[in-house]
Amino acid sequence: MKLMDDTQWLLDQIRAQQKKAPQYEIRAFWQGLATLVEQQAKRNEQLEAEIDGRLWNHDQW
Amino acid sequence: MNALVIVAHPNLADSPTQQFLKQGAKLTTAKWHYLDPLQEFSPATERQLLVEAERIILQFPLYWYGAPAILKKWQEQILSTNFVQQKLKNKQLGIVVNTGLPEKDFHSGSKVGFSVEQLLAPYQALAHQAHMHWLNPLTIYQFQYLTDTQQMQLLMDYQRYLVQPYPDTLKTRSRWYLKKMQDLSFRDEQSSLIQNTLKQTTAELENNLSILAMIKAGEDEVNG
Repeated sequence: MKLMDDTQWLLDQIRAQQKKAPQYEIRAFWQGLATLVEQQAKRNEQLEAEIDGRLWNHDQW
Repeated sequence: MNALVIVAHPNLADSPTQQFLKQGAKLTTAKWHYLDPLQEFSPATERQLLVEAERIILQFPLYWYGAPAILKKWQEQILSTNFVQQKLKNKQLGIVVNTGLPEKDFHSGSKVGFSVEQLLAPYQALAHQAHMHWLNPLTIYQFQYLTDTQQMQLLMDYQRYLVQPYPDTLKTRSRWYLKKMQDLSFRDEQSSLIQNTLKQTTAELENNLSILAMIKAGEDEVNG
């Protein structure tokens, strides 16, 4: 839940910067960065779940 | 990254797609090289450009399932078996292609019946013969129908395609954006905050990837 809140906060900051930017290429930069942040958040969530799953040793259950 | 973009189009000024991409290329260190249909090629100059580049990008609209005639003419006049095998080895070869038809038409059983990658097989064969690294092509379907947001995303994806280190993973992409942000030198506090958070999330990603790699290596030892 925390991760999602942090990601949303970061995306909001990026969108605010994008709206303010006068130059097209800078608005495009913020657009690309927002996409990257979404991809990172998704991948980090997947990786953490995979790490948890692999670290759980069923022999010691 | 020393990238060379070889642009083949019969009338560059009339192409909104190529004009858009040209602006994108200017935001990078890539060299834009237009194959002017009205001029003859100088094989020595063309070959020198190829030799100097680490990444070679062929860029063109798809006409009847292939490149415009000027690119084929250029290939036949400039490339030879000896030259590609001796001088292009270990370089990277990428394709930026745009289509007038939508993505849904480029599948088996659809209107075209073949994927764009299948249609680009001759270039992949060239990369294979020359022992070049083949980059996954960047295909732009129906540029004129892209929304403003999609066009902005394309401008970034295109810049990365020209100069971002290979292969294109989330890790290399993250580092590229961090570097780009540094180069743009934003001065305001909000941007610094974003930059610092991005550094943290990138470090988190790299850390998670190494932990997972270590766990997998451990499992391999146990299973082996």
